Amino acid sequence: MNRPPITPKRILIAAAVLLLISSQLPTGAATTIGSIPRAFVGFISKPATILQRMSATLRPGRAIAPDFTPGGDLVEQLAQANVYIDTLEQEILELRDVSQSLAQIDALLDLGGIRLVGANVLGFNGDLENPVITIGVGDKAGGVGESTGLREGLAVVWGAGLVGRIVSTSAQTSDVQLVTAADTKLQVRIAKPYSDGVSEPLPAFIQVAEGGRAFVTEDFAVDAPVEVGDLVHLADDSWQFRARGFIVGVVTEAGPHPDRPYLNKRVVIRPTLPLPSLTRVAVLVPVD
Amino acid sequence: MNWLLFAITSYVFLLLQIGLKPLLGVPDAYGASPNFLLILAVFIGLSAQSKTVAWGMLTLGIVANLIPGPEPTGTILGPVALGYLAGAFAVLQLRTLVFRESVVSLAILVFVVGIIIQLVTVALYTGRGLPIFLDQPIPNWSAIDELFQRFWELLYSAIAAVPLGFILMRLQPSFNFTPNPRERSY
Repeated sequence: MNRPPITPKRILIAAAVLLLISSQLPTGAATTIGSIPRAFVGFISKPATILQRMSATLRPGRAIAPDFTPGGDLVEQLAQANVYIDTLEQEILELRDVSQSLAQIDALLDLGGIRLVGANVLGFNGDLENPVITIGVGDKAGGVGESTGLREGLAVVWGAGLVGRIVSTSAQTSDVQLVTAADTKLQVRIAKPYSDGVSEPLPAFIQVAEGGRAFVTEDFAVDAPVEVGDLVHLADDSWQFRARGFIVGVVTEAGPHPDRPYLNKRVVIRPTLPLPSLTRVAVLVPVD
Repeated sequence: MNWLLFAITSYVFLLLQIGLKPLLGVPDAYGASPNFLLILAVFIGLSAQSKTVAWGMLTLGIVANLIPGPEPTGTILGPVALGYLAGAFAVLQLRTLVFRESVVSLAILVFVVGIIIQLVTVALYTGRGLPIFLDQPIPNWSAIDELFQRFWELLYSAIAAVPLGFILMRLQPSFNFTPNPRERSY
């Protein structure tokens, strides 16, 4: 009896073989093959951003003030009071963090001619290749979109750290591409965290590595005075002028280059801020 | 199996997986979060006919593979999808040993089958870096670190499988899984 040449089982085996080959192809070819279906899945999963925004607004829950009406159960009221005190302590810590960050921005920036627009982070798209956070105020009182003078290209910071750049705005919210996006290349200056009066900041070009978790530069000579703990400041012409000087990251590794150990140094820089999990940011808006 | 319902459920679970990560990630958005597609895949594996399981889990594996992975320059299609295919084989062996209508069975199988899926996935990604093959390792890839992180994700997914399992079990009649008379089920 003749069996048909194409059966579901044979198709399944062929699909498995093709996937196995695809998984072991050189990176360039493998990512090219994966790019078309990846783009399709990226497109159909766009509604997930709404869910992300809702997630971000749901997470920071606030406790309701307890009811201390006379005649109530004192033990229960005591328990409520303790919970409320814990919540207030947490809010105080958060406000201290906000205050410290604003003080750092104030120390870095001459605020003349610039307006700082604060915003809550409403969501993160979860994509490490093209990480985008959505910012807004998170309630019905108003937004931080076009209505507050925000536009594409403006830098977003928090404390002394650089967060990213606005890539799109709507009436109430804005999308910010994080500085760790896959194709980011930045002109920076690497300086000591303290002023020793001798060391000069070193110019460098850095690019994103480790899937958006770090930056690297491999251009330094092996004896360049770059050390772990040095701070990396933005100095890129393509960024908003007032964003220059904000910290992109801190040097976490500075050792001989694995392929050219006698010639170059490989420097790894990691962001100082947990960018995807920030809850607040500030936008540098020029005053016209 | 009702493939339309499968497609809709897969899509919803894909959105949940991407959209709820900022909310459910522990300790932050980079941290462990439940794998909704894995839960659905194991549910299909537990309930569908043998012939359908491989196709269903392979489809979900391909979708899971197309969510940004460890390679920073793009998506390498294959490792996760083949992991799910191996998971389909595993779930077919294991499902005769458990009570299929129980969410506890679903949670246990999510964990056990998830281990097999992750082992295959990590092995295939790691294989790219071996000198006898491509010698093109994923940047900063450490198989041990990955397995450790994925273990916590599986644990989280197994816990999440309990409430989701209740919903999926309610949907089971609509999925129209035809029982295979030759298979034994407790």
